[in-house]
Amino acid sequence: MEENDKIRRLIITSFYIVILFGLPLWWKTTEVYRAQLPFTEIEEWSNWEAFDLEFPTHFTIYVANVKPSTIKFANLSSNLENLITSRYNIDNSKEANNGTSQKSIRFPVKIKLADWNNWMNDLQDGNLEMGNLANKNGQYSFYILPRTKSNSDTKVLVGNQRQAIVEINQWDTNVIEKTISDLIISLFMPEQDAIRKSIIEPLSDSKVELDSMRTMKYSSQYQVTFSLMNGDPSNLLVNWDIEEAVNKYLGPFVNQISMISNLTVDSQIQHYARLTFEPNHKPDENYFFLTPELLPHFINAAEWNLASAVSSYPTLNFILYVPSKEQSPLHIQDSKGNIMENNAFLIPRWGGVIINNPDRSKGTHNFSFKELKSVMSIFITQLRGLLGVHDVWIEAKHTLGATFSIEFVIPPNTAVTMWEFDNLVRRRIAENIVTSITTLKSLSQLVTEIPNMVVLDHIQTEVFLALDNLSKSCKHLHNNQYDLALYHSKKAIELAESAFFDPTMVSMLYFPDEHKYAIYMPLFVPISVPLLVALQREVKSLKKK
Amino acid sequence: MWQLGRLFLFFLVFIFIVLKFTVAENFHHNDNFKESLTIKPLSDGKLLTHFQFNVRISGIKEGKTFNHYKFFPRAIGQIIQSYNARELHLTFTQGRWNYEDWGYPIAPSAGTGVELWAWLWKDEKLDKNWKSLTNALAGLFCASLNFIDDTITVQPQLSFRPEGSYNATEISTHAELRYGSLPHENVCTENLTPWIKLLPCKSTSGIASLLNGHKLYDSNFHSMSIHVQPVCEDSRCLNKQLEIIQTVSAVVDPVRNSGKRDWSLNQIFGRQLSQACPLAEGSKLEVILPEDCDYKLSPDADDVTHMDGGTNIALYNLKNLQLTTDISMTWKEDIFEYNLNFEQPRIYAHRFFTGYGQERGGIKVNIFNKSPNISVPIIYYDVIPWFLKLYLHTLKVQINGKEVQDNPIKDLYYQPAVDRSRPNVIEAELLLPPNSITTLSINFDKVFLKYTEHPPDANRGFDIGSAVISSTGEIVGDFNYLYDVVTRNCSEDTPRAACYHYSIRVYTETLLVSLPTPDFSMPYNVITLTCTVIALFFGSMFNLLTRGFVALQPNEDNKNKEGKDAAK
Amino acid sequence: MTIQSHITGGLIFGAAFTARLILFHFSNITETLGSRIEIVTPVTSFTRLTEGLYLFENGVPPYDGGAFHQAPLLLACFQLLGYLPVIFTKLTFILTDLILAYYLTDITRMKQQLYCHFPRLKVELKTKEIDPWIVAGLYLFNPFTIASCLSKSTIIFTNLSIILGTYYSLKNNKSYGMFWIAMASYLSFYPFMLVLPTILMLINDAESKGKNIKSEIFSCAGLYAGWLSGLLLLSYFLVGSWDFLEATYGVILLLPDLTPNVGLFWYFFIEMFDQFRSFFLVVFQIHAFIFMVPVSIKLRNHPLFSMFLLSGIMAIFKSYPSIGDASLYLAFFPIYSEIIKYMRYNFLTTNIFCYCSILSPIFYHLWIYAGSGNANFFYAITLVYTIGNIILLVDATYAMFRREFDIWNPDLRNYEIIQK
Repeated sequence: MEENDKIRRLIITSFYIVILFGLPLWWKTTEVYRAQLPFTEIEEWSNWEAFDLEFPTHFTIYVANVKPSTIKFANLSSNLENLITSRYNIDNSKEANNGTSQKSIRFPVKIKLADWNNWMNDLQDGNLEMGNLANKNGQYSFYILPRTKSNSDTKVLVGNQRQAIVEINQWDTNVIEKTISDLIISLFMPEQDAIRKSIIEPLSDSKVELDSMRTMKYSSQYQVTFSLMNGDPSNLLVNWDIEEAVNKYLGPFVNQISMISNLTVDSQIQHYARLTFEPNHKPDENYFFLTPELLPHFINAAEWNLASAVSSYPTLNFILYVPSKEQSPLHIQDSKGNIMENNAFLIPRWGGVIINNPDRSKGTHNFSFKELKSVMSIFITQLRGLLGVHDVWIEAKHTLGATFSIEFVIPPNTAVTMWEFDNLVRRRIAENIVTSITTLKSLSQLVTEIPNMVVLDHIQTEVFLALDNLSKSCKHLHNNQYDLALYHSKKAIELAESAFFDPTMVSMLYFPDEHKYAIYMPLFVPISVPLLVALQREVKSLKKK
Repeated sequence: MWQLGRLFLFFLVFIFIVLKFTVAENFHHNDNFKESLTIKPLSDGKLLTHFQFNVRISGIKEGKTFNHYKFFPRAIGQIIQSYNARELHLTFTQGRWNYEDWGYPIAPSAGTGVELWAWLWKDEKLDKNWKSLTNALAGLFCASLNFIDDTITVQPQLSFRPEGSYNATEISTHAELRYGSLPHENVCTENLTPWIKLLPCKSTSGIASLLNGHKLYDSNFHSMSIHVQPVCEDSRCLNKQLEIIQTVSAVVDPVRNSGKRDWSLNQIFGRQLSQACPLAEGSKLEVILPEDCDYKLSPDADDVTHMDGGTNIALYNLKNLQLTTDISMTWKEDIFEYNLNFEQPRIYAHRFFTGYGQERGGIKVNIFNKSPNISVPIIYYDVIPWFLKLYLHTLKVQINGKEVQDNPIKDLYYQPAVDRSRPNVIEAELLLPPNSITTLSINFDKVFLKYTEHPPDANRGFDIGSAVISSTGEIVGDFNYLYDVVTRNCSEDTPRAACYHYSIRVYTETLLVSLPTPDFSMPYNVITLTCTVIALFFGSMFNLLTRGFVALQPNEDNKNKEGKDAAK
Repeated sequence: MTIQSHITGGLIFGAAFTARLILFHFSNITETLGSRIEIVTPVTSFTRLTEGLYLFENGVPPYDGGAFHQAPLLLACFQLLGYLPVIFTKLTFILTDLILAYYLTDITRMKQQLYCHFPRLKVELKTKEIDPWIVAGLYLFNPFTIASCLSKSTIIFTNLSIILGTYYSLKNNKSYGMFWIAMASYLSFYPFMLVLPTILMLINDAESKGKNIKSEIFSCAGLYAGWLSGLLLLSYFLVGSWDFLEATYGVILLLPDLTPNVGLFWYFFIEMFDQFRSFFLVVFQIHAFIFMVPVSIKLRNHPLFSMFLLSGIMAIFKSYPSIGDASLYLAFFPIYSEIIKYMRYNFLTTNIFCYCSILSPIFYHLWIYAGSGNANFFYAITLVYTIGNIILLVDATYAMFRREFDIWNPDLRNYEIIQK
């Protein structure tokens, strides 16, 4: 009897051992693979708990050693610092009501004074590369000297690097303080507003804002396509020396901006590029014109072969349009009915268009390298707008008012000055950080909400790397290293987006639970009944003993 | 003396500048574009119309990208540069080229559906590039090319050699071939529209203005293709150009409407040809004249050239010609009488299935060599999807219906299929004896697919792409059979030797195979029934193994008397 | 063994040989049988073996494609056979069957010797035990066996290995016994579960001789592992890569080829949802092996019967079963002829087997060729066939235990007996 029981138990155990061995396999073969994502960390970032953004700026003020020295400079730097910081904070407190914790964004200012001894000679030489030039983003120098000519204007000469010479009309401490603080505030306040706004309302697309409407969404690479559109080749053949023009006119700009975004440039010529509508005709002066209402319909996207066949990154299109004989000359009128000088217009977030009416007498026209100079300069201005380059000084002038006169060492709009470049870098850093956090946040929400979504290991790696780059970016911001901060913020946004848009995230395994029962029940219910009964009986008999 | 020297120096500098200028000038502005339309009355009364557009871009350096496009389509340029393609051939075909009645096509045709093959530079991303290439082309041409995945992609070893000009070693060591075809693909206007948009003049002027989708798709055969390949700029091939050839061939049937083979451009295409594309360097319309003489061509051709082999070609140079009237051709006959003695091409083939039922079958190919006294080497290429399991040991070759001692298969490359990941590939090098029919046959089993692997129209069956017979060599004697090929090769500037070098590809019929289907409505029933049977066994066996026997006493049921069980 | 029994034996074997030889002469019969999915499966088909051999001889790696899933040693053997005239291949199959039958008689004899020490039922004392030649005859003239042999299904080599393994184990030849079982597992994987009964046969004998059982078990297991790895290594050297593992055992376990057969797997996995495919593969394969230990424990005194039972389970629940598998366990069955009188459903099982044999080709034809039936027709037949086999196995096991009970409890003969 004993023996029998023992054997029976052994048999039942052996069944159960195999089933226990099968359980992990059940788990393994039916699980939806989900790599663990750092949800809490993402949560901290999106609540602005994990970091605070700091955009420090350092100014060195070289004061001309004017004899006899009438001013006391001892308190100038601290006074300036206090003045500027307090002005910044007034604006900060305005935003405080909007609910984002204030401490997360800071714009610390540091001001240093230095003597400018041989200013006379420097000025006479026209040598602006004076002294120990600050050549890092966030470090600027002002060279101040008294205004020689008795003019009430304050004259500012903006250098090609991160410096400016300020000629002050009244050589007096208070005036100097006022002038410099006004200057700095009007130069940096708009930028800070923009940064703050982008952090407080990361998705400000809904807000009608001219600037953000025009600027392309950030990408680390853009495809820039120049298209020469010929309305009718049957009576005018056109060609252009675009390769040379791109290399010479656009090359410097492309190089400079490449730290923020890479621009790949190509060009094409399209013939029989017809408009989808008839332009208005002015019979008395015998020209054709486009009104501002017609401009949005100008691009014939279906026929003009403007889309890129390969690139996954955004395209900026610049079109040089040569109208057909029946529609030329073609001009653009503004809302008041005046013909616009440059005959060009910008299409927000898309590109720019220039209409050109060349001489048709020869039957062919080649846009020579020289001829393209003016064309390219318009395109560059449009490109600056599309990429979000701000004319910081010109904008500052508006706020400063008429008492300031501003001159430039190199004319504006030919390329990007360091002031503009720095401004763009700082705004892009803030934008990138915010966008990558939002993207990661949406990703983590999506993954938590849909339990059947597959999360592969490489997604996990990308998310971790993105977070890592975010914190590195913030760390470098603290240390006033904007280049590295930009680099890491670019990495962060790339990683976050590639994780979010990964095609494997879409392959969701959805199988409703009631169907699962229908699949499991026919086998496992009848099998488990004898197994459980046997187990129960054994347990009972063991208890009896 | 000193002055002379100085003058000389000045002169040298001048020459240098001039030279430099002209070289630079050439370098930048050597793109050119040619268009031509060839019309050929076929012997069965149908009419072949063949459009060809060539764009060449010069100054192409290996490894150097070009970004500035003049005539060359930017979309194609971007695709081949991004995915490192050296050569690209894409053909959309509807219908089958009827070799026996029509001879060889002017441009190599392809089997029904879409065919894509490309030579890609070897790098670590090659397979990814191929995938991206198919995706990009799918997007560009609105075709389902993105379905060319691993189960379809093949690397032919003997067929589909590069057609551009290269050093032989350059291409074989640094590039790899990928081939994919989708026989099920329907070609329609949505594919033609993006194709036309790649042309410099689009369909606005030039001969492309004749491309009328309504008429084109109302034809017996229609094929549209893009070939991108490098060509040599000079005889020593120091500089290369990149050429894109876009062709459309259509076989229309004038007899169907009027009973006569008379045609005019307006009648065929429903449009008028007004002028050449202003951008084209050359623009011509050729009519390959039939051998009988009682036809009339109006207006008169600019020129008639006599080709070797007796063919005459009438030429209209559209560059100089302002067409006021429609070009037309009429015969002095009331009704077209079918000619029963067709000019037959030298090599053609037919392929068909043998056997019946949905379990197994066979493929049989008849390859005809009609030349009376020449043995022709050919390469037979066939890709059979993995769901037909080929048995190579059943491969049999017969010549004129008889087994032969001397095996005509000179070389055989065979890649067996792997379920769900790659197809069967057969490539065989054969020597076809003169005036013979060579028959290849092979048996296969049909695979039973999972129910999710069947298409929604499971009972329609699966398409099997064309087999391809390629033959290259020098034309000796027997010229007539290949005169179309020669016509294509021999333009005014090709050397005679190249003109007699032929390379033809003959495509067989596509086939439709039906596979055994399960009952698609059954999943839950099958799960329930099968599981019940298993549970039945498990339950009874478990009980037998774990429960012993007891005896019920006949009189006192409630008092069990336990017996000793089997054990000792 | 009388002269008369020798004559009987000679007649049976002679007749079996002649019948097979004659039938082999009609090539269309062998071809038809060789393509019947009930008889050959993707892992035993001779056509596929020929294909593998052809690829192997022509320098194409035979396991690279999806056609050939059989063991490399078969490839080597048939390559050698290929040098001889075609008739030798046929003779190989015929002789394998005859040898198998011959050893079956020996096994029967040994079983009868072994069981003469066991107590028997009173009624049985008068009756004679079954003549071993009859056992062989039943095997040789089983239509399933003949069909399987004529189809040149390579399952016959697995069957032979199992029979030889049993024979040598009963003869107490440890290393041969283990070798043949290793060979059987090498050829078609599932016979792995027969290791336990063979070890039991060996140690039952060792026990009676008073040897240390544990060390016996370990030496048996060691021998088995040694032989098996030896065979695998030999195969590796034959084909030069380990690809064959995936192409043979991988195919048996993962079922990429869904060609119909008489088993339960094919239609289930054609219809199964992709998400659950791997789970149910695991469940089905575990289910085939789950009985290995319990059956061996329960029948530790009758290892030959557990051999029968496990071969039966294998024939029903393996991934690519054929009627050749059934012919093996049906060959073991008459050895235990004494239990037949305890079986309750003889008539039903016999009918089911007849019914399936007739209807399965018809239904398959209706589905595949005539197009007037669909897959469910054939699926239904395979279900019925499986149920028939299940009833036979369960009934036989029941009979075995019931008889045992009666032997040990002769006094309870008049009581109603129930399971508890």
